[in-house]
Amino acid sequence: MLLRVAAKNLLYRRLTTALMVVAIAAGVSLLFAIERVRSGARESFASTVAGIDLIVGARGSPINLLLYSVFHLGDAVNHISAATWQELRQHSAVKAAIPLAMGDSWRGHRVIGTTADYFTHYRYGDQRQLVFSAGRAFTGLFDVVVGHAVAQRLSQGLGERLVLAHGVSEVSFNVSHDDMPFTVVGILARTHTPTDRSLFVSLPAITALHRDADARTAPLELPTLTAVLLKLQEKFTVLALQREINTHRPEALTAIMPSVSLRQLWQTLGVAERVFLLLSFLVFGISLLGMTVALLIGLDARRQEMAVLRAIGASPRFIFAVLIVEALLISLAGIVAGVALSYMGLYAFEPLLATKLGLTTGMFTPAATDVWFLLAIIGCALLAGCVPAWLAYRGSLADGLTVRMG
Amino acid sequence: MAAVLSLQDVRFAWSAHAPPLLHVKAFSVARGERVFLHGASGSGKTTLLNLSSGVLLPQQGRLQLLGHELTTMPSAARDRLRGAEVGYIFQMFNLLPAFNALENVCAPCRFSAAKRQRVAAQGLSVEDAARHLLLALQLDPQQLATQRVSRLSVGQQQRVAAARALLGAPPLIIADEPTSALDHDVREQFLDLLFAQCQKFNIALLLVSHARELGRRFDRSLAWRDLNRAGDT
Ligand SMILES: Nc1ncnc2c1ncn2[C@@H]1O[C@H](COP(=O)(O)OP(=O)(O)OP(=O)(O)O)[C@@H](O)[C@H]1O
Ligand SMILES: [Mg+2]
Repeated sequence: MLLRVAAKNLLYRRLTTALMVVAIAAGVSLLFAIERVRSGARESFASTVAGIDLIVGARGSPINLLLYSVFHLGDAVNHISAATWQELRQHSAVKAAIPLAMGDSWRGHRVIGTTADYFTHYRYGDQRQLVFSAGRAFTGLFDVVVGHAVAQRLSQGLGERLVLAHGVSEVSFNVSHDDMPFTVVGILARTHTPTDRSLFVSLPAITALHRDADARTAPLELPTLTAVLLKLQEKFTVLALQREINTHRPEALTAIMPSVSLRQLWQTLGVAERVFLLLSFLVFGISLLGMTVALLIGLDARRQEMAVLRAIGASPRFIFAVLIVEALLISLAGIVAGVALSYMGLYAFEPLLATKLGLTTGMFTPAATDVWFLLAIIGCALLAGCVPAWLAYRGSLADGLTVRMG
Repeated sequence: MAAVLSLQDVRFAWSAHAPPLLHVKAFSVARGERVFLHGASGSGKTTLLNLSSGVLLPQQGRLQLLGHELTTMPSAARDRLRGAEVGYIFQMFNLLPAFNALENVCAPCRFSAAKRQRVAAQGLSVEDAARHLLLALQLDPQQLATQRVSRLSVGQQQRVAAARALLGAPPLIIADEPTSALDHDVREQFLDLLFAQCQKFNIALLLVSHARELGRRFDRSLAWRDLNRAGDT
């Protein structure tokens, strides 16, 4: 009976109900979307660098180094020489040194000059290795391996010829070398990391890209590098090696531990994150307030209805429960609509979030914390519903069966 | 015959400092009896009905509904007793606007198992019993099942309210000026129909009104100032 009365009342006041649901849906969707993007960002950032112990770049800000070397956000200001990479590679504590030379692009996707070590030693997620969904690693000068997202933009796939451009932009200028097409020899399986959106070529290929056509026959020396990813023989040597690299003489270097820098990054972003979350909580709070006010305004017109319910045997507690259930139904509908809306929004903005923020994973998979999150939202709605419910309870006790004005 | 309702030396005041509004030495309604009560506006008639249905409690005295002493009963039990043993008709706005007329008539049966059982004892479903009552009160159940109650005329609304009070044959129907919003002919017809059903199910009726002339149709007609001793010296 309780549910019937509450549901019928809401249906009877369709317009008000719909408006309350819309307001709550708006609040919930904003809150939920921001929470998803936030946790998605953390998840996808954290899963991007799993197997790397140290990242080495030119002297500069550690967070910058982290951002441009693994997340492909922004550009390196300074570069390091290939000689330094060779030196690092031969260091006794180092198991693998993966060079990264960036600066070129294909239709807005980064072209990364590296070695085949990248495919064997790079790890993402929970220590997962890169897998070729088709083809193999590059061997020849004009071989290119593409990530999953890049492969989707190809027309033929394996064997297709690509023209790579100098510089990083969506459109290619006339500096692109039309006479130097690369051949797709490998396609990587999906990783949900920036790897998906990258193309990989050998280091000499980068040098060749930047050379004038007439000088192309000369032997190719190695290009300058953007960063070097290090994997160590023994984890415990990481601090010593970091100190050693940071005090490196011939060239000023910065070595960072990805996990430490990632934590610093979150601390830096934490404030903005909290402001966003606070704002969305405010929006949600206001939408709940709207519901409370709408229910409160409705109460006065419903006093006779309450008296009728009392006359046919309802207790004041029943009256209280009717309003609580109404608030609960409204907010449940609002939550369902809001979550659906936020998923639709995330889905619509996914390409944008992926290219601008590097978010590729975690946004769509519901997390265990979401349950708590939604329970907290329902809890808030219950509290908000208590206000009109309590007033209705008091009112029906005072009114009894006779409703008086005022 | 046992009394359906009985008050003994009941005193009631709205607050401790307010002068006592109501003091009833002895008043009872017998099973199946039709009692009419008339009195001036603001004199405390509605208050008496609120007491009789267990919504208000007196400061003093004994107040029994079908032999159950209301003054010592927990409030939830009083609500249940009212739901089971009383049908209530207001002057106006008797119906739940979100429910259609048929649902309004059936609503008390959703609160009270006792009413449901009495309907079942007639060998009817709640809805069928409701339809029978609506027909007996000269309403079209077919039409009322779909129509919004706010679209009904006041006379129709009062008859729907009467059907609701009658459904499940409670021993007592309390009516607070149920005919005040009706004009003369409609009022007479309403009472005819209500009386017929009360008689059929042996239901006692306690009806309050300003309109003293209605009293001649009842078994007993009382003036409130004769019943209420408050203010007497
Ligand atoms: N909730 C309340 N709180 C305080 N005083 C009240 C309350 N309800 C009624 N009263 C007072 O009790 C007195 C009797 O009211 P009641 O409604 O019982 O009168 P009545 O005889 O039914 O009048 P009418 O014929 O106009 O319906 C009035 O003076 C009113 O001011
Ligand atoms: Mg009155």
